[in-house]
Amino acid sequence: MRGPAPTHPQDLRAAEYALGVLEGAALAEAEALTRSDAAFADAVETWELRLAVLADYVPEVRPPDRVWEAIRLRLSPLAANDNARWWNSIDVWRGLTAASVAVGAIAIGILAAPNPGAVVQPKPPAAFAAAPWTAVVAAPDGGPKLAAITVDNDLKRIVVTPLALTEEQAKSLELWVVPADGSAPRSLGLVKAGGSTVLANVTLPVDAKGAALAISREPTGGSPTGLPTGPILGVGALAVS
Amino acid sequence: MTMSYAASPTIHGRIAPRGGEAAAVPGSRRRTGGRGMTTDLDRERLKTVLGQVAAGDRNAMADLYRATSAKLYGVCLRIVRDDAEAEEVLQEVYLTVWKRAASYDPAKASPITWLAAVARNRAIDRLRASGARVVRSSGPIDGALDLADPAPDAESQLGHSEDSRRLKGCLDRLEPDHAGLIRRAFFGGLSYSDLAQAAGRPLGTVKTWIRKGLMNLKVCLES
Repeated sequence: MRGPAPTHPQDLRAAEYALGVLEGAALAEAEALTRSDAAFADAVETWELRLAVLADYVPEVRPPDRVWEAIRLRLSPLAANDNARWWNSIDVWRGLTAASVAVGAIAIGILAAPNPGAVVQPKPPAAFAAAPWTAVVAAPDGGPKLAAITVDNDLKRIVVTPLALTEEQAKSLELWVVPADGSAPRSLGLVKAGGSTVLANVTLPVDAKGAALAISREPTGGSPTGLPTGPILGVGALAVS
Repeated sequence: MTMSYAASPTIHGRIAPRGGEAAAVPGSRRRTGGRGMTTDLDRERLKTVLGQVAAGDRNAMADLYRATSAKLYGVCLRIVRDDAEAEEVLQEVYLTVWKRAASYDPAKASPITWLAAVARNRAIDRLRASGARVVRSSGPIDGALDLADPAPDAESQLGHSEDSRRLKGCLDRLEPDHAGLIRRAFFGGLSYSDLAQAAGRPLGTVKTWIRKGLMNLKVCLES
């Protein structure tokens, strides 16, 4: 514990806000203060934590097991950051299966192995002569495969081959890499629906291992915010080809 | 308990994203086998587990859930008063924790207190979003069913029993009317107007009582 804190001049207002009793103009004012006055926000936090001890008055009730199961299914690595909300609305990660990766690799024609079984378990990357990474971006819930993508970091080139992408008027299609560490998706560039797009001089800004590629529909020219703003059309895991 | 006002990311909007992040969690209700519920993690262990959760450790998340979900589900149920709603809120609570565990500051509160704050805020958000913030009684506030004041767990095993005892001692020193209003606001998500209506008291009286209660609570807790 650190030393006693000075009392914020509006500490009472912070307490009322934390308790949730404010309404109307007083509420709006307090909300604005939490954004503009860090000390006020701290005072609110302090009150929230003080009052939270009231929860100890509540008897424990064991929740049904299905709750944890539902949570567990939603603990995507992507969820571990504040910017991951964009994918919460659609369960795109269901489309992220080993099968889709394998089919994608075939679609791209990279796998020369005669044994299809080898497709399911991608070989580890060679220490030298790094193999390109591939991904098939598929619509959620077993939907259509939208695009096959190869990422060749040595050649600094990403090739996007549309399989079932559609353009919409006044919209662009944007390719994203979703890092494995749960940090925010990063734009790789815009892609076309009518033919292959070659993104030259582009390398993955993050480790490909465990990462995924996603395509979203954005305003013309791409997302204005640097994060996906439109619907995520599909996602696909990166795998070594 | 002394609190620090040191510059840090504010918890508000993090602990209490009121309205900001109220996206409903789709109710995935797959059943699974039973799992044991243990509540024997002490405060220090919970701190460690929260740190592991902040680092994205899913096993730690399972440990945290086992140790704390009964407490937090109790809080959700008490506030939203509906099994299905409470289950969904509980999902949101743990998904919030998964994303924001790094913002937990051990210098400010015990892990279970922080978790309870997340749960309470999420549950209140849900209550308000669903429009269920109804005034359930127009009679004297003390007669309202939901003022029933369950005893704190005899021995909390989750590591905030000291905080809890202190708070209880301070609540006991408040005027019963003041403490009752604070509890009702806390669990019911009620505004001043709602409280006044529920208590059958003038708005001014309710405001005065709550404010006096809060300030006396602060003095007591910091003494």
